[in-house]
Amino acid sequence: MNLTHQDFLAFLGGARDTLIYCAVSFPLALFLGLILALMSGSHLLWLKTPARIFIEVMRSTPMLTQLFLLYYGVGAVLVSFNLAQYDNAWVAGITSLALNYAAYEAEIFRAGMLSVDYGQIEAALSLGFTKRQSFLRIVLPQAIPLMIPPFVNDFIYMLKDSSVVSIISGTELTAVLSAWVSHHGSNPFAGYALAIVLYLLLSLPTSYLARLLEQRLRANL
Amino acid sequence: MNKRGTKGLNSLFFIALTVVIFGFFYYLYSFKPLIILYLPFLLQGTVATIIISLVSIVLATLLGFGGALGRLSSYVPIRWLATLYVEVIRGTPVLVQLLIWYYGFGNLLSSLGFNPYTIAFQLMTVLQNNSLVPDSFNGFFYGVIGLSFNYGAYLTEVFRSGIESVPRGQSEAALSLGFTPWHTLRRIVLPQAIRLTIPPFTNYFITLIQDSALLSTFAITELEQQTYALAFPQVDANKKLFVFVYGALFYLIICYPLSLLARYLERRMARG
Amino acid sequence: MYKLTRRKLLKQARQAGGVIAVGASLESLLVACGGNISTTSNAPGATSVASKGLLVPDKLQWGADFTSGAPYVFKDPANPNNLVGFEVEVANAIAKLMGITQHQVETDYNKLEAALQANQFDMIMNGWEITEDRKKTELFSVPYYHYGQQTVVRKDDERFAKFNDTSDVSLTDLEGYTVGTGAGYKAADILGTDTKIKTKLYDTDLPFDDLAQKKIDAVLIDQPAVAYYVLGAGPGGTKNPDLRPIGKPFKADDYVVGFNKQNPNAQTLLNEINQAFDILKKDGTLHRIYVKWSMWNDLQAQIGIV
Repeated sequence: MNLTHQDFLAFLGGARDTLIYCAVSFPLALFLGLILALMSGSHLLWLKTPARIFIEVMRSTPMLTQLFLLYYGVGAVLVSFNLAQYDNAWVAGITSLALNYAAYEAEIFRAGMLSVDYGQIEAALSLGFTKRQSFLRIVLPQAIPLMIPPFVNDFIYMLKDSSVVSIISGTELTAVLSAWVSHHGSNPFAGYALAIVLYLLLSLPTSYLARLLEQRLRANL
Repeated sequence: MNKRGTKGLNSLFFIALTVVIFGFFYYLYSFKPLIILYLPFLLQGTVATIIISLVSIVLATLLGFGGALGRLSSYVPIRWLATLYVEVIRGTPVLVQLLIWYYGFGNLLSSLGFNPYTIAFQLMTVLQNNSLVPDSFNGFFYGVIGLSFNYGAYLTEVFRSGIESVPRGQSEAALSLGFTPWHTLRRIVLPQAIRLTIPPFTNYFITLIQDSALLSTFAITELEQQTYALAFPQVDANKKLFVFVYGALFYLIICYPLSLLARYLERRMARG
Repeated sequence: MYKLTRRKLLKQARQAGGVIAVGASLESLLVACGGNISTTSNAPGATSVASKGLLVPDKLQWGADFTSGAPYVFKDPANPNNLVGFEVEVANAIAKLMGITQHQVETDYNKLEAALQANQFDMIMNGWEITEDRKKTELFSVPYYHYGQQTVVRKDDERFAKFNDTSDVSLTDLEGYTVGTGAGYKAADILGTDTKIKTKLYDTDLPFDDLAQKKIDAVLIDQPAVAYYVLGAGPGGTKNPDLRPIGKPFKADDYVVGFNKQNPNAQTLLNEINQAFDILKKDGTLHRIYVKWSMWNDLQAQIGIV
């Protein structure tokens, strides 16, 4: 075992940063995803088309590519607004995770809302509900339970996909692992094992929770 | 909003959309010399990406099928082994797995005398074609293995749920009619299960193509690495950004038709 | 029976070959028409240096990273079929002396050490420096370039107006500023020793764009990189109109070639490479290469280059 106490702490710090990346990015992705879903479900072309284009482009290109484009593109935008001090791996990583996942969450929102019988909306409208009311009071409460399991799944995906941020020298777990391995190239297996255990500790409880939640929701339906 | 207002907004929108699209094409056009000069290199990277993805998805399908049979096996140790495989792979990032295959197992095996590059080189020397073996053959080898094992785990779950979706009564009926278990699987269960598994399978293939970009970290000349090699020596920042956009377009061209296909298949399934 | 299986094997192998072929680079596709890479001696007249220490006879394989490798080794932006860079020219010069061919083996910079230990090539030549860590596992050649750390700032930056390209600039002049450099570069260690400097590390791409866009105040990096990205040396390089180098290079160090200690032939190859460098330093070849890449300066006399 060639892992020192300090290495161990560094790996733990990496795991913490992985969690921070996801804890910040995922709510952002949910929020953006909801907006995108509402836009792409709209009858208005000027709302629908940009949302569709965004979703398709995000889903058809690798996150690694998006990360690089953002790292350069967003950097330039920040500079032109005199916000250069916010240009770092955190901003680029969180922005690209949030934008990429927003496209996937939008599809989940859309599928969830479509699953609510249209007759119910008609009924609500005929009972004098406004469109907004029927959406907030009728559609969402029924759609959300259906959407939670895929959301949790996507959160687990994000825990793993955040490793890609290591390539623009973030500070999360995979970046710590890479740095450690480059100093211990001859016998790297202890580092690999520790990283795997930490990732499993992050993802397995979440996936167990997801399964539990799914079972309970199914039982309720 | 009244109808006329919507119409007015829509026509305004179409004008704006046309302007944006023309703007994008003009942006591309303004880099015309680079487009022509770099096209063969990015095409070559695209071909490498497609080959890596195809080989990996074939191996992943085999692993996934084996894994699904293992998960459904009545023999407990095999079931545990298959479950362990699925949980460990699905709980860790593909990038970390690729690092372990390439630097961990790759270096370990080469110190024990197993070097895929040397084997391929010697084989191709016999065939008078050893210059066809790329330097990064080891990267291809372990990269494909890493992607296959990763997606094998996801496909295990896809195939398992596909097989489980076929009512148990059917296989019991087949068995009582004198079918062997293998026959039952091949003639009764699989034909029904495969229909259900095709849409998620296509979706996983798309993400596999995108994940193959991670192989660029092993210096394999696939699309992503080709993009880097062309972008980084650019002194002009605009040209550098353009090369990244150009590379991304190739991924879009590969993946978008596939995602249209996946959605078409999903819709057809939904209709039954 | 034997014949049948052999034919079958050859057929399968050929099919596999077709698959690999498409993945190989265009260049090697062209070479492929000629069949095998020669593994027998081609004996081109008199060779002044022997090449007995190679892994593969008559092929000098050196590990380097061309993806972010300008101007050491990189794909010519004007014609990406060509691998260019001053280290390519040095390798060519060595190979010529030995009467053999040279071949760059593409490897991620961070993984060069691991790949060397796995004998994936004969040696590392990629702006490689002697460090305490590397001493444990590597042998080193004599230096072939004596370089220094060069400071670069924006042309219109008033705060650095008092410096010109011959004034003395040291770390203290950079205190209080944000300074960028490449991750894994020696400048990263040097900047790390001064706590008053805010260091920003760049992993894949060098920080010159960020400097021009005012995200950082200065860049401290190996002089050859400045020659390419700022002074516009070599093919593909264009002069950066917004930036200028200030001060003489400082914290001088040497580029050397690294060999795998575990490789039994390493010492033999090391002697042969040293002999080749000795000749190239004296006959003006290295001088010519460094002038071409705007890397020539008086410091080179210290390591015997004339």
